[in-house]
Amino acid sequence: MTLAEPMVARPITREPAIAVAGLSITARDDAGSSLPLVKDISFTCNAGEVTALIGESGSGKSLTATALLGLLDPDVYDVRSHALSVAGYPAAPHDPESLAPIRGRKVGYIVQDPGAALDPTMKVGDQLAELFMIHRGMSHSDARREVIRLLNLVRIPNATARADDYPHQFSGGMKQRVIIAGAVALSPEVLIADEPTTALDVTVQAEILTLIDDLRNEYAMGVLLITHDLGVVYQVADRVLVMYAGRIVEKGEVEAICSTPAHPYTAGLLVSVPDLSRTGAVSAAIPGSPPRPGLDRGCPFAPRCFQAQSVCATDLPVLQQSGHTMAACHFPISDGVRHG
Amino acid sequence: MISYVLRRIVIAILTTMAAVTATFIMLRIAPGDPIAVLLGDMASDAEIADARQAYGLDLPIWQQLMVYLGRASTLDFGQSIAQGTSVRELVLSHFPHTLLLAASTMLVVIILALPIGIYTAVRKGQSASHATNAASLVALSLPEFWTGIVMILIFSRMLRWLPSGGAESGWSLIMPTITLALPLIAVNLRLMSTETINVLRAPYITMARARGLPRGSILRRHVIRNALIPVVTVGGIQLGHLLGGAVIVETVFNWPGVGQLLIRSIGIRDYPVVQGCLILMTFSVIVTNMLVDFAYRLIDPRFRRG
Ligand SMILES: Nc1ncnc2c1ncn2[C@@H]1O[C@H](COP(=O)(O)OP(=O)(O)O)[C@@H](O)[C@H]1O
Ligand SMILES: [Mg+2]
Repeated sequence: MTLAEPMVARPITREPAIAVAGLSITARDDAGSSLPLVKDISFTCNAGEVTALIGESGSGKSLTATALLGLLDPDVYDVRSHALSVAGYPAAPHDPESLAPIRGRKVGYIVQDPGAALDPTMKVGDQLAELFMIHRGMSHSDARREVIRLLNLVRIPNATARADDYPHQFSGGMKQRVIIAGAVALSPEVLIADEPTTALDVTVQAEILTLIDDLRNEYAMGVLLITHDLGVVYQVADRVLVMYAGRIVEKGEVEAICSTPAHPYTAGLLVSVPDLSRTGAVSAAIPGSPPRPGLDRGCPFAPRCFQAQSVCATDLPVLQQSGHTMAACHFPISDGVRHG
Repeated sequence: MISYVLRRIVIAILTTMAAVTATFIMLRIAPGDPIAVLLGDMASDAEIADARQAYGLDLPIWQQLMVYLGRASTLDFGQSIAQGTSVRELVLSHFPHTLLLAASTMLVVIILALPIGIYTAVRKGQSASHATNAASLVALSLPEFWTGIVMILIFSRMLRWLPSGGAESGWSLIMPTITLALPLIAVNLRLMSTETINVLRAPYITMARARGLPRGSILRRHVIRNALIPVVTVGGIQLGHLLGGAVIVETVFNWPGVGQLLIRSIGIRDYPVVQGCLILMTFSVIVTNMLVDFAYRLIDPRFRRG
């Protein structure tokens, strides 16, 4: 290395933050019938990068996130995968609890709805202190010092006093910050954030995103960021996964996805950006609504697709390279052809 | 907090007065005449009239009520018609037995129902939990007098292990306690179990798991506390009832508590004593409700306002 070369901190080559192959999630109901919700998805999130998972609500994003942590109730959901590893830790097939040792320490989770995500009967500070006491064996007073540091880190004003408040004394945005604090408390290598900014007002949204991005830089975390806000994707993501009806229909780098999408669904999502940031509604650009969960035949997007042909109704397209991205489409929008 | 306590006490006094008035009027309207019972069939009309006057029973009901409330406010609840002793002394002399029975019952209920309830919730769907559910269903449907009599037959008559009644030794406490506790264990066990199952599904438990807390810590620190909230309410109501005297069980086991005093006094139309017992029952319910309320505030911070 010569002195002329700039001293750029290169990311240490690490295992992928998340690597999953062939993940399927099926809901069982009381009648014994089963409903496929997430169908054979595979993807990788790189360490130190933000991977955005986008798609209309109901497409299976939250189920996927929860399954990555092994947190789905096995009485309700049947989760299968060929291979799943989080922070380099391989999960034993068919045993969601095999992921328990890395939860909290190596992977943090920000739940979609912070409303009921904190124990109503325990002081917020104590709920965070638990992490340090149980995982790090700290004394209560040491743990408390860490908690105050965390609450300051997530920019909760008046942290020392707020640590002694109960969840019902916090607003939605403040609860979300507490959840984030808990997720990053032990400097995990991976962060799974499920729509961390929906239900917050716009200024708070921006602050929380900046916060997550800062934390990623600080801890070099790999982040799986679920959102249906494409503005957020532009702002922080490196790579994008597009999910539709329980399948990944397109994936690629953020520039490629945003400038030259190959899947008509992605293209439709992009056109509807302006509404999306406010209400999450995509109906403006894509007619119709997503199919109800369950078995499907052919391309799940075909009924809403402006360019569907007869083959789309019968044959399921598989993900393959088309232009700069991977797309699951029989007739990908080719480079240079702009959908308008 | 202090204003809250004062408010609760004022409400408690007003509730007691309303209950006293209601029972007072109902007792006077009910058929049966204490003087007739006291003096027997042979008494002359004049004797009866004298006695009525002596006990103030010749006055109109509302006047009797005023006199009664006036005295009650100085904790004077009159004299027993049958025994001539002070109602206050009579009721208070029976209360320790009722208190003892209520306390031992609730203790047994807490020690058994809560851990088993939690256990069946955690073992949901396994045979141990099915067996407990079936057993509690049976316990719930057994009438107290039946359990009591069957226990007397087995443990007193056949095996001669336990005294069949009275309150002479600590052994006498066992069968009444079990008889009272069985259905309460069943109720609280099932409640604790369903509440635990509900709490286990709560998002904050999923989040606790997501933070990697071990199962045991989650159960101890988050699940039990939250699941207890409804159980405390129900347990408080049960304790309130027990403190008012367990009429059937005290009668079956000849346990000298307030319930037995009440039944005996109703039989001989001893109004002042019946009235005294009813006031104690009302008061027990009110006091335990207040205690439940305070317990609630300890467990659930959302109730700590005002
Ligand atoms: N137990 C279940 N039974 C039937 N359908 C379910 C069940 N759980 C989830 N779903 C359905 O699965 C779909 C995906 O849910 P989710 O992952 O929350 O979507 P997203 O996070 O993308 O909005 C939704 O349509 C939801 O209704
Ligand atoms: Mg979701």
